[in-house]
Amino acid sequence: MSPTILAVCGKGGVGKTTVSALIARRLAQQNRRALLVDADPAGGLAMALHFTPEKTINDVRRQTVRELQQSGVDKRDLAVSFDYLVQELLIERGGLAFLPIGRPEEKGCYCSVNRLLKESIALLAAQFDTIVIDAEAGIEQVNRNVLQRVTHLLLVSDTSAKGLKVTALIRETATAMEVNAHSGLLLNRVRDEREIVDTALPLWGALPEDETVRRYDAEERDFFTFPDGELTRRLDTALISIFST
Amino acid sequence: MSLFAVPAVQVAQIFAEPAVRDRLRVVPRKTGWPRADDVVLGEDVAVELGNPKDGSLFFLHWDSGDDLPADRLQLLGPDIHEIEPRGLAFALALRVAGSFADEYETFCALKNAVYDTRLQGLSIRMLPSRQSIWCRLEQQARNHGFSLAHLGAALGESLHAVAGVRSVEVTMVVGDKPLVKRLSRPAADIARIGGALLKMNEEMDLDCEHCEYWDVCEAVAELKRIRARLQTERHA
Repeated sequence: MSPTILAVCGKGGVGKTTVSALIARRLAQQNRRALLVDADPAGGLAMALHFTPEKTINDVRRQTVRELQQSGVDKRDLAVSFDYLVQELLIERGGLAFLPIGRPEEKGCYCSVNRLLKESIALLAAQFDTIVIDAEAGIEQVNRNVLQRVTHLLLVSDTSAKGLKVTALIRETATAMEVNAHSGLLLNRVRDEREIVDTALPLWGALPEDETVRRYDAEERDFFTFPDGELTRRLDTALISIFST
Repeated sequence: MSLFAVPAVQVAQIFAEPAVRDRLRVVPRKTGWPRADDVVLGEDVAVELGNPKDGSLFFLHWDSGDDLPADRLQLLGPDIHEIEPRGLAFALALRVAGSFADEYETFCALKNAVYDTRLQGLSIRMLPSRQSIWCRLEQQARNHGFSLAHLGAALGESLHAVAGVRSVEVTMVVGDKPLVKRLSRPAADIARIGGALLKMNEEMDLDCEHCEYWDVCEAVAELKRIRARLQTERHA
């Protein structure tokens, strides 16, 4: 069965990484086999979940491109190497696995490298029933076609007009790119139910402002240990909406 | 003289040392394990061989193989059902005997045959630049009686599909990290010869003066012969 691929997108600073981390925590509690992809160059998801990657996919890409420039590498060797290197990058904890993407690729066309690398990641991704992508802020991810295989686009925003505008832009861009994914809005840091406004996007959920999140962030605590409460209860409700679409 | 004569003799000498030879056992091939391209995740792993942290080596070489009239499968160390710890060092040494018209074509075909050998419940990952092989066997495959003899037999079958192959010797070293490390020296020479062979066939202009394989080509007579042949063909 094809995995559910959930991309968590939105404007910078709206809490995408916190939402991704809390989803990961819940998937772990449910013993789901899930792959967490940290596609934000800042690597916030790794920090939130206390994964400590030594290298990223983009480090592997850079290294490979350097090797290709120095001397010819047999294409088949390159393909099997990527399968190896992607597995080596993978950090596993129970049923959860974590894959860091790292800084965006530099200029220059290395199409064959990128294609082989994508094939390796796709082969790995097929082993999981759920994939959560903590996407880069803004609409860059859509532009770079990362979202082509996504099944669910979770657009996270705070209640600000700017945040909501970015989610609308992301959805428009995804539609223009013919990304065939269910999309919905998750409002974050809601202080008052009256802040929940109607948008063109289906509302998958609303999470309250939460002091424990602030403390976990400030103290760099592991979100896997985040306690159950109103926030997680609301997220559970949102996840039911998301996974039932 | 064969392309890999010198390092192949060094490998054979290591395997012939009494302390090594006495632990090498010939195992009967086991056929019929289903083929599938599986990725085994950490929580499903029963046995892990050649994890980058444990020591890992893969090499392949070929010759006319007058002393290898039939297939041989050898194992040094425990088989899957005898392995208690989860991760062990691993070396896979493949020697192919036969008559081959074109060394480059042979090299590519043999490599691809190995890369295409995929068995159900066994995830094989290879990193040619580091000569590493990393195998993860899932619990279910172990419970169903998977043996390294299945892997050896499957590799033999795949390699026999390459034109000119007469016999295959598969040697697996399990759990002996110092031996894996010792074998890595001649294996590195085998890799350098293979690298030179690939490069001279894939590059149109042979700029030997600035080539990182210059010393290898000078040292290995068979490579010199191939290089001269390629230069003649390209200037014709």
